[in-house]
Amino acid sequence: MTDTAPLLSVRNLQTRFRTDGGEVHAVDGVSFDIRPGQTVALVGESGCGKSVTSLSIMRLLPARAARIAGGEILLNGENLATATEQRMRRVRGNDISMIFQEPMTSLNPVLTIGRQIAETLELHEGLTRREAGEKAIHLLASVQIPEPKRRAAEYPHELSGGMRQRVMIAIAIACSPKLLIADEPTTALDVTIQAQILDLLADLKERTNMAMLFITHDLGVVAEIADHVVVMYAGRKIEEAPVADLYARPRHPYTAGLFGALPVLGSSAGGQTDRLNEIPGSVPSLRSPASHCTFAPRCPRSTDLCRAEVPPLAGQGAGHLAACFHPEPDQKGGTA
Amino acid sequence: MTDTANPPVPATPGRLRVMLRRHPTILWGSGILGLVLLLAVLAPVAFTADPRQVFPLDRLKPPTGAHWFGTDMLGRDIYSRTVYGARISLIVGFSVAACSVAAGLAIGLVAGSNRWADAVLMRILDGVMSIPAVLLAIALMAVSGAGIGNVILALTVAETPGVARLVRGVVLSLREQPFIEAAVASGSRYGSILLRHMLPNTVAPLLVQGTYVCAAAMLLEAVLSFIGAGTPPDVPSWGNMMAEGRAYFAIAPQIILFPGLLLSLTVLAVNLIGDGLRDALDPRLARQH
Repeated sequence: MTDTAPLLSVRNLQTRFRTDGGEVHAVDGVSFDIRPGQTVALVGESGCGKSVTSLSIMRLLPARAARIAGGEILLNGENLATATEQRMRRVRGNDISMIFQEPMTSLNPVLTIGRQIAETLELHEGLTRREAGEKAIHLLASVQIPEPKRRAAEYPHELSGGMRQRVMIAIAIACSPKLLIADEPTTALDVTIQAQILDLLADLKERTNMAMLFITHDLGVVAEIADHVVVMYAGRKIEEAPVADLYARPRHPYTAGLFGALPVLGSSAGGQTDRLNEIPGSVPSLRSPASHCTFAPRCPRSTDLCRAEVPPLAGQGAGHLAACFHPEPDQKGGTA
Repeated sequence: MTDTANPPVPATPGRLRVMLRRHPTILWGSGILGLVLLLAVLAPVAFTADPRQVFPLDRLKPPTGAHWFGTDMLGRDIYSRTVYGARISLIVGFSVAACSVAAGLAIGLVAGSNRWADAVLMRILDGVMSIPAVLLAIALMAVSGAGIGNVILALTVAETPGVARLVRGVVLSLREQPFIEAAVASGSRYGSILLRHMLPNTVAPLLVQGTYVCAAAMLLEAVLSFIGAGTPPDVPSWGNMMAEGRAYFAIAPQIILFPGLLLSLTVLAVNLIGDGLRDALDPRLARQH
């Protein structure tokens, strides 16, 4: 995997928001690569900058409030951070497409779903209305919607949440994008539907060799779908590792804390009613660039060094990086 | 504008039947309006005499078999005049509704899309709205002179700002909707998003607003004619008739009664349709089935 050239390469991305109280460094120096066919999960709690990262890649940030202050977003070597709006319109939906968290409101309520799928095809592939309509039915079938022909003529409110998310996926894959950005696509769905959507995405990825950037706060979902995981905290990348390695040996105390906060099935069955482990404190303000480890105030392992300097990302084994002066010890044998 | 966030589905014949059954006010309103419309269209053959013909011997007669609604102070047949007057009211009502919806839609779409245009257009419309509709219409009529065309123009100017504000509000709230963001994310231009995604979402609120504009325009036309600033005196309109009959109210109330009754009935019918449509197209109510 590592020897193929990356499809998308985010280099030292800096995204800032103007607010009344000064500039907020929503994304501060994030870098990662996505190779063709690879699924990278972007993990972190609410407000850590994961959605802003994805919107930066699509250049869909609110124009008045936000700007990409630095860094590069290279799609096959082309820097999207400085591309024209005209160029971005050709990239969006064609090279990179996106599915959103809320399938209930991401479809236009007054247009049939067939029409909404066909629109992207007419736009990017230059198909006629009729051809696009036929291909839309094929796409509905490929996202496993029964009776696609009848469904294409229906309106969004006639479909369930899971069905609507399938429609969103059909729209996203209509032009065979090289990269699919999925921003918490299963968060609004119930658990059995979640599993179906994840299976569908995995299946599509296998069939089309499409790369995927999967944004989530659900570590269970990450284990199921991702090849590689990037953990973000307060706008910075704090750990990055292949998925199996991260689950086996989380090195950053924040990542370890996230795993500790996962409920274990049956843990309170035998009369035990222990609280879940929580991470004390809350996410720091992002008003100023980090001058020390942003996690230090909440970290059980922090020292004076952590409060004085920003820890650099350091290698923790094959493809495993963590930004911590005092990484968690490797429970399965010495540090790498 | 929360009711535009999740607008209803365009009606197909089956849905239309369901909608009418659930909201009978639409049916009642359409029934009454349909009758008035039929009468107005068929005026020459609806057992009418020439509405302008004067019968000096038959002045101020109460309703009889020959003159169903009686006669006025010049002996003209009130029934005929009322039926022909319906034409004026309906033409003015529908024309003003159509013109102000079209103008308001165009202004609202532009204002909702561009902050600079919004600032300029909305300040102008605020100025227009700050003048009471009747006064504005009287002023415009004074400048342009009496005539149906000028009445329509004056009332359109008075009614357009409300429609434009409505459309602007719809566009502004739609811009924040995830499906608009999704359309941008699939590479659509703003212009095509405006036409393909936003325009269809304005249909339901515009339909409702259009009926209210229509009712208001009919009333305003009657007011203008009543004070002599509307249709010329030789054209029978409900406002004219009521103005002429005012002096004879004590001895011949039928001159005012019948046109007034028909005006009330027609405006009621249009408002019933509007209320029914508003309820039928409101998603919070539409969900309850």
